[in-house]
Amino acid sequence: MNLTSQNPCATTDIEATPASLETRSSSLEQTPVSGARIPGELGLWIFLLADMSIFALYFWVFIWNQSLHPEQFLQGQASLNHSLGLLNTVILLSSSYFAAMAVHGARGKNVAGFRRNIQLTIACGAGFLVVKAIEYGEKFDAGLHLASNEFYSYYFVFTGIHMVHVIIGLSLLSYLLFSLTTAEKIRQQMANIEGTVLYWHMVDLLWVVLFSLIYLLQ
Amino acid sequence: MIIMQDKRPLILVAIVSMAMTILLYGVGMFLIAGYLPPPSPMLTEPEIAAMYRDNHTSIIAGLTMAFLGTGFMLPLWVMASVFMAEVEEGFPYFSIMQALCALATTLFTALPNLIWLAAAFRIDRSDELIYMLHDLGWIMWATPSWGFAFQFICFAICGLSDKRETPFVPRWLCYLGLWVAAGVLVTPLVPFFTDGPFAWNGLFSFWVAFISPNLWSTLLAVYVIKRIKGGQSQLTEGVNA
Repeated sequence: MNLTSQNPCATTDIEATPASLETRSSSLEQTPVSGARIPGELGLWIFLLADMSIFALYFWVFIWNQSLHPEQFLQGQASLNHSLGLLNTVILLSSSYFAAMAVHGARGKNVAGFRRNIQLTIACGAGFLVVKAIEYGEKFDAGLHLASNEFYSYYFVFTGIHMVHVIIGLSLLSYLLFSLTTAEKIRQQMANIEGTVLYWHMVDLLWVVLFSLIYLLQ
Repeated sequence: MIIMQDKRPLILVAIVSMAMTILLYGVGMFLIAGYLPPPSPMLTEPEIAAMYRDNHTSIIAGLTMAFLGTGFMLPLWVMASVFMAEVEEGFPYFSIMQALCALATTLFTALPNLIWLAAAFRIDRSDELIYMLHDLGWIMWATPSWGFAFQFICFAICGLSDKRETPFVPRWLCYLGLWVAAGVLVTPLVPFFTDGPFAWNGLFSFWVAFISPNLWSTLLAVYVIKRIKGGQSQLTEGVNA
């Protein structure tokens, strides 16, 4: 089945460089342009905003509990491996760059560039999961788990839910990699490419906030 | 062989399905049994046993009513599957999957009522047994979310693949369904917590994971009715022309 959308959000290119204007022909074929063009479709933005709202609730719950148990949260934060957290932040930020470059390649009908950048994004996502597994392993070895205390409950639950988002993103990226092998297929699936990359950027953004909140904010 | 040309009776089915679910399940659980919002998992054994003994009749009446209400969820979901099958070419995998998951959702919503009814059936049994049946019912009610999640994912796949001039549901409803699927993912955490936002009465496990799918289902009923009305007017125009 084809999930290509009819992009209703038509407007001007936000990054309107001559090169990008030239390379956007594929997506513009689907949508008449009459102003700034926002990538993705309305429904996707509703999904992203709704998902981020749920995470905003998670953040609020974490901060509220931090205010109730300040000592426990300070100790919990001190016991986390900040180097691995920072490494994962760098990995995900890099993956977002590669994902953006993949869209750039797709718009320029550069099949090799698109596929290479999608592969790099997937590699970064997989790297994130490996680092996360190492971090979880350290905690389990130290006898810390979901029910250890309030801090660790939220640490495991929120980073775990984020990890599920990463796995969903990797599945979508893999679908793009394996199904889009020609310039024509990429042109037809431009909206899905943009949608997947927007989702990936959201996953990246959520991690940056989670990292700041769980590892750093005191 | 039944050939359904006039689909207007299905509007009545959709309305009855939604209305009876809200009336029987909503009123039974919220108002009569007092089971929703769920009682706190922090309540002690004597408190739970006293709850069953003091409200014996209203609990049995409310739970029985709600149990009947769960069956009315299915007609609407099956109707959704029929519309989904119009989109799928060849083997209607996602439509069948959606209907089967709807059945699982219905069963996991209905069975806990029977367990609580068993707890209320003999109020002279020990507090410990009442307590155990009470916990068993709530864990069964709050933990399984895969039925809902798969339903919404299958629905979104079909809805987003609908390339017809007038899709059977708007695309934003499909994306919203995906969000609901993401929102119910946290319910397997229920057995880990006796208080807080992930306990069975918590912000995420109850208020988000229970309310959002039901609000979404109400929207689905509205769009299914719209779709039937739209399809019927096209059919009438065709006949008149």
